[in-house]
Amino acid sequence: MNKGINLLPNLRKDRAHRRKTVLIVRLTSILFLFIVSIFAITLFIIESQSPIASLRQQEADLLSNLAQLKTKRAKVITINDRSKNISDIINKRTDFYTISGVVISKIPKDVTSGSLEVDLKKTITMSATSPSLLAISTFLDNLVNITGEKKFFSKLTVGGISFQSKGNSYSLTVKADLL
Amino acid sequence: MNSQLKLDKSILQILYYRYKAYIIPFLVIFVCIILLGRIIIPQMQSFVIIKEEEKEYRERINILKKNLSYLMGLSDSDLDAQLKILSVALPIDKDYAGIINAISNVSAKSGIGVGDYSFGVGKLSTESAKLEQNQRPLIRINLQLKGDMQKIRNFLKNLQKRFPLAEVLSVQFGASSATIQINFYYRPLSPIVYNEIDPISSFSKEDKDLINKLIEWQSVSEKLVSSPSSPSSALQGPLLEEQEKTFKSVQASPTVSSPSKSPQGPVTGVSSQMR
Repeated sequence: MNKGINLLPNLRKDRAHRRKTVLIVRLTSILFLFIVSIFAITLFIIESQSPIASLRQQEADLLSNLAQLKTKRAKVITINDRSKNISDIINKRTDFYTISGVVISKIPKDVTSGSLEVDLKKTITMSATSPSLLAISTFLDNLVNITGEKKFFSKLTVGGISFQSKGNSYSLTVKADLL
Repeated sequence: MNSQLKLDKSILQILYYRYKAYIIPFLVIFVCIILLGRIIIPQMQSFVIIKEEEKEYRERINILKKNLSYLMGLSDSDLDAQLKILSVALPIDKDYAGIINAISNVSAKSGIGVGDYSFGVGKLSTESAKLEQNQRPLIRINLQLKGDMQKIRNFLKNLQKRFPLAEVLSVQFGASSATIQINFYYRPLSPIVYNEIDPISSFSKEDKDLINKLIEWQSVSEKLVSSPSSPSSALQGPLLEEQEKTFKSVQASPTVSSPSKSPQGPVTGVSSQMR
């Protein structure tokens, strides 16, 4: 008789395998349940301790306090706007007093200023007359020096020098571009 | 057909008895997966959003606190005084009387005579009221002055410190006269629109220096103008009343929305009276 031949199913081994599988499945389900519970509890705690509601209330209180100061805020805005515009005007203005003073101070004794014109393009046009060509030259040198200082003029152009036999004098026309 | 049904039923019964132990654990796992996917994970994502929202709230509250403490620290009388001087320097309307007053006072101080002059009326008030940030409508004046060059220079110097603020555009000096072109600026009240959660730009040192400079100029001007019924000073009252109306209308305007609903925060928009 061959003992290796067994026509009955191996029930004990099968049951043990089944029991093991059931155990694994049950343990897995418990693990899932545990994870979900932990997450749910954690989220609940975090949500219940969230400061959003108090922050919202605080913000609403601040906004209502600020609403009472709207007039003041409007005044601040208006003051800022006007002071900015006034600064622009003041900074943009050309100081004709100083510029004309500088030019006049450089006119030698023998030279007479004919006209001085500052136009919209910020160009100064000057005419001067003198019986002495040397004085005209000195005046021109002075203007060149002012231009070289780069304080008032960016460019100096001589319009022309002419001699008028009637008055026995020389006349000079110059143009200077203001900085 | 009946035998077929019986057969299916018996198969199901066999299957049930065979896998009974698996049903509940698998059901639990299934429900857990559904809970994780549909509730827990979305909740975790919203938790991140809530944290960001909390951060935004805190930032907004900080700004609001700073704005509140800044505004509380400002004195109404100081603001009114500053506003008054700024509105005299840069009027809210075409201040013809103020301009004539400035010219006549400055010419008297400089010892020159004023000849013919012409006014450019400038833009219509409805047009000039719709202004951009740096736009300023103006009144242009051509003026004939009689006097020597030094006196005319003094006129130009004194005019710079007179209100309403003027900008001399061109000067044509003659032997004993000059023709000058001057711009007198004004700026109507613009609609005051601001967002509550924008930080208030506090007055800078430059602003304070400017206001001090204007006060100094005004005090010099007032010394010049001895007559109490000068047109310029007479205009200050109505001009400020106009401003008060605008500021009161700011107070009356409703706050649009709360910042929690809109990330930009409430916008308070008020249109000032267009002149």
